Amino acid sequence: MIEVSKLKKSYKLSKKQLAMIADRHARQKVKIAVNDLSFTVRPGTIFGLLGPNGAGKTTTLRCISTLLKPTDGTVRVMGIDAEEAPEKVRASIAFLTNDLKLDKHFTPLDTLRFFADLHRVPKAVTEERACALFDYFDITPFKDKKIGELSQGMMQKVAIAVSLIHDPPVIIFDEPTNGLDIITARKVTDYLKMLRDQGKTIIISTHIMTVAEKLCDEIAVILNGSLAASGTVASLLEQTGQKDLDDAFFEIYQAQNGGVS
Amino acid sequence: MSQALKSIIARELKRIFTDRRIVITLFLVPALSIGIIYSVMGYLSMNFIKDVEAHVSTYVISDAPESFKVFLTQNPDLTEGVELTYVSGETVDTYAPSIKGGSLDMFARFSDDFDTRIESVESASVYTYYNYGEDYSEASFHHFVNDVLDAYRNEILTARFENPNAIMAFKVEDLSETAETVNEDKASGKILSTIIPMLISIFLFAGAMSVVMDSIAGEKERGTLATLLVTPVKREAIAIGKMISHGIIATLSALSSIAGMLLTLGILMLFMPNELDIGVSLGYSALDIVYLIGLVIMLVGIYVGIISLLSALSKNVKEAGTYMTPVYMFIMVVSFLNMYAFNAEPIWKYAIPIYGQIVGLKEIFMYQITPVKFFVAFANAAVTWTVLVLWIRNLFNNEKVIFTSS
Ligand SMILES: Nc1ncnc2c1ncn2[C@@H]1O[C@H](COP(=O)(O)OP(=O)(O)O)[C@@H](O)[C@H]1O
Ligand SMILES: [Mg+2]
Repeated sequence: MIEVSKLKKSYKLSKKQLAMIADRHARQKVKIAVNDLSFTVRPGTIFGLLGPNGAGKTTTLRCISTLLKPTDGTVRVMGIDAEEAPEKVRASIAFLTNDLKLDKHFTPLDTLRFFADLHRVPKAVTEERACALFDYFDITPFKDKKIGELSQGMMQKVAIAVSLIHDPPVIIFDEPTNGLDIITARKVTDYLKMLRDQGKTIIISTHIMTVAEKLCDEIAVILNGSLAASGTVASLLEQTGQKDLDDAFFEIYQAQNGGVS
Repeated sequence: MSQALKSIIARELKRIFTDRRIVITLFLVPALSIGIIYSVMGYLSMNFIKDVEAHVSTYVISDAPESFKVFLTQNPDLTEGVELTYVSGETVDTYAPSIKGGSLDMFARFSDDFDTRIESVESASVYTYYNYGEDYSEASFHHFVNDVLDAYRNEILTARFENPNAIMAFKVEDLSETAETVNEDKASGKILSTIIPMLISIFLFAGAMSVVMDSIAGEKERGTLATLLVTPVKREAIAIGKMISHGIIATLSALSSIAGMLLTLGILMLFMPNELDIGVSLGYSALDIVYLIGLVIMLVGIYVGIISLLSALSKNVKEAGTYMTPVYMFIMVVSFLNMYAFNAEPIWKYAIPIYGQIVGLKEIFMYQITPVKFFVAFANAAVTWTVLVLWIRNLFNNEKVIFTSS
């Protein structure tokens, strides 16, 4: 269970960041990345944050995984307040985002074992899970090669395996299929569905309509850090009177921006 | 130790020892380059070492009791290579200029009625004066106190076996401080012992620098630190785990430099078979070794902490490198500061982080360190470590520090 309530996150911009904003009048000292965002993700569902680049998806997911402290509002994971007990929250989540990297010097197996240790997974259980994850993601032939020698897609699969080694109840994946070929992407989404069927609480972010449409049980459309619409795919279509999610999204987008694109 | 801490330390060590490039730059290059530097230095100091050995020590002893003179005639090996002159009723004032000038190595005076006092088990003393700025003089002093007087004292105590109350027999008091026997400028002969603390300090810092920068600033740059930070491991454990493993590596790296140094010295000594006792004759005790190891560990911890802190504040290894240059210079200056001060250092200096430990290293080689001084150095190190670890933990909790690139 993930409960996000009135989440607000603003970044204080450094002088350098300010100088990079081309429009002088738009230069403000704080950037509000997420504003007044509330939603709940229930166990056994895949929840999707859908929005264009810069909408605030990654920021939201980082707040849930305790890497960022909310400026305002609260985040609760499995009933635990993320600010009060960040270690407990971190013990119960898998967090995947493409700016968390694995050390290229080690092999996938070493890496998996190391993170299992940090999560206090018993040795025998680690070996069993490592085998299963490597098999599923076709990593087995590469498990003793250095991560640095693997392809980009293989690296990402290793990162997914590492994030899941402690079999956590909550899964937070930021753009999980980005940069993957269609077959691998399909494997990942199938795996997520399997985890959902096991009763896990899953939240992903994406800017790709088909991913949201095919994978997510519930969708929150985020524009400029705020919730623009939410519900199942069917309910979003109904709310906007459109036939597919692509059109529905555009409708929501135009409504928010006063009809000007 | 927690499981997580162990895993982090094991992984850091594995990371370094399986990287051939790091192993070469950390262990091989310093050992080799030090070997070369020392070969040159050793060649230059070879003349000096031969000189000390061939040197005939000259002692002047005033008011020596009969029992002492008899003892020395019975044990001629104790005064081999020593030119001994007995005088009576003289004070150091007459001889201070010659000691300072180098023509006399040591002056000693026995307290009045020495033999009578010993017999009646009253307190008796031997006062010594030498020039601790000069190697001949220092070697003479140590030989006189540790070999001659020690044997003499044993003989007195054996003779007194029936009287168990007389434990001390007599005291040795070095009064060089009070007399004008010390010549601070004449320190050329002390290169070997004065340069070691400075080299240890600099090697430790250099060794720590490359590993720590890569492991903290480098991990930040590569995005692998954040991966570690989403695990339930406490930030303190991550900070401490990294610091311990880097401390081990830096110590090993410094040790390899020192090994290179000693090996070179050893080879040099092979060419001078008679001079093998040069280091040993100075007689470091087991306690001195404990002090040495203790001070090295303190220094390593502080260095690793400082470099970790600066690395955590930097976006990448390059930025960390720019912060490191002034710190390295500072460490060099502090290490050099001490080289040519031969008086016993006041205890307050031991309370200063880094400086205190380097002073301690120096004083081991000067036989001036005391348990109290060592403890003060340890207390200052413990406080410094705590501050650094807490500071680094806070940095690891600071989102601006974790995500500097985005
Ligand atoms: N560390 C940061 N400092 C300043 N602004 C940031 C920082 N991280 C993200 N932002 C800004 O916050 C907004 C939301 O970013 P993000 O959450 O990464 O969006 P998304 O993942 O939806 O693409 C963007 O405008 C981005 O420029
Ligand atoms: Mg993003």
